[in-house]
Amino acid sequence: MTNALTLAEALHDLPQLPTERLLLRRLTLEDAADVFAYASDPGVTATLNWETHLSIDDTLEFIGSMLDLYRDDRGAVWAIQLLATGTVIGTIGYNRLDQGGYVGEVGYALARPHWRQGLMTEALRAVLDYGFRHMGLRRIEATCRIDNIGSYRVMEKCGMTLDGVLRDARYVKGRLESIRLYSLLRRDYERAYRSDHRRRLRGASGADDSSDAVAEDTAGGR
Amino acid sequence: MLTTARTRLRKIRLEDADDLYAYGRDPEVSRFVGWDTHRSIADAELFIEASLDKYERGDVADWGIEHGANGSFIGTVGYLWWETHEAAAEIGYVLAKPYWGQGLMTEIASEVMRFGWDVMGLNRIQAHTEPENVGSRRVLEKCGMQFEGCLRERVRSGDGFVDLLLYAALRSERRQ
Repeated sequence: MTNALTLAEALHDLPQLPTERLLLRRLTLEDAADVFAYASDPGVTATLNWETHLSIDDTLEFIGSMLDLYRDDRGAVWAIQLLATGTVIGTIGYNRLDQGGYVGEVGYALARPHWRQGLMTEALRAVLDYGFRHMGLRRIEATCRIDNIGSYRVMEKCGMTLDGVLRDARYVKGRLESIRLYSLLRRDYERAYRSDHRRRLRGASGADDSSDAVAEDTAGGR
Repeated sequence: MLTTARTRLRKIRLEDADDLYAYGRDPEVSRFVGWDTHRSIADAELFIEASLDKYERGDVADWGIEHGANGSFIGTVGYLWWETHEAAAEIGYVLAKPYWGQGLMTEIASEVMRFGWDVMGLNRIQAHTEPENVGSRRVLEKCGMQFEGCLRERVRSGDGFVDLLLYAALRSERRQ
C-alpha cells in the first residue's frame, strides 16, 4: 500500500484530497473571509491553542504564512471546503514534523455550524491516509484540551488511541490546561487498512472467503 | 552551586573531561541518553564545550555532579528546556555506573526539583525515559513524579523507534 515519496515530493504542490462531502485543498488568499468567519468565533477558538482572530488582517497573516510554506514545499495544511456550498469551513494539517520527518502532529479547526456531522472525521481520515501513505510518517499524534470531547471523539473514530494526559502542560488564553495526547502508528493503520480493504473486496466480488479472512482479522486484532 | 547529602552540583569545567569520558564511553551508561557513546576524549570535550556555551548564553544547562567523598565528577543533571509561559521544564540526568543503585540520583534529582520549584518558580517538572530504563523510572517515582503516559514509538533509536514514558510532577503535589 505504500507509495512513499520523499517528504518534499509529498508536499510539492500539496495535492487536493477529495472525500465524500469535502475537498481538502491548499488555502488561498481568497479564502480569507470564510476563514475569518470561524477563526473570529470564540466558541471555535476557546479550546484551540491559537488566538481568536480579531480582524481580517490576522487571517491574512495566517494564510500568508501558509502560502510561504507551500512555496517552500513545507506546507502540509489544507483548507476544508464543503462541496455542497463551496465554502471553506475549516483547516486541517500537520503543524509540526519531528524525528527527521517520521513523526507528525496533526491539528484542525472547524466552523461551529458544521460540528457534529462527522465532517472532521472524514477530513482527518484523508489526512492520516496521506501522512502514512505518501509523507512517510510512522507516527501521527494530536493533542486537544482535556475536556474537548468533540475533538477527541474525532481522533478515536479515526483509530487514534490515548497515549496519556499531560497535566498543566499548555498555557493558552491566560490559563494552564491539561491536554490529551493521542497517536496512531503506521503499522496499526496499515493493518486496519488491509482488513478494511479485504472486506470491501469481498463485498464487491460476492465471493465468500470469510473463514480465511476472519482468521486473519482476528490474528491482526491481537 | 547546590549541595545534597552526598554530592555537590556545580558548573561543568574542561578539567572534567577525563572523568566524563570514563562514563561517557560506557555503552551501558549512554544507552538511554540523547547522545552517542563517546569514542574518544574529544567527544567528552565537545560535550563540555556545549555546556560552557550554554552557561555563557544564559540557557538552561547541566550541573556537573561531584561526589562529596572522593571529589570525582560522576555525572550531570539539569533542565533540558524551560517554557516560561507554562512554567514547565524537563529534567534529564546521567550517572556513572559505579554510583548506580545507591539512591544518589534520587537525592540529586530531588534537589534539582526543589531548585525548580523555589528558584525557577516552576509549576510542572517532567521527564521522559524508556520502558527498559527501570533504574530511571524508579528515580522518577521516588522523586514524586506521576506516570502520565506512554508515547508509542516516539523517538528514533538506532535503526528503529522506541516508546517514551512521560512522567511529571506538579507544584500542587509537592512533598518537600
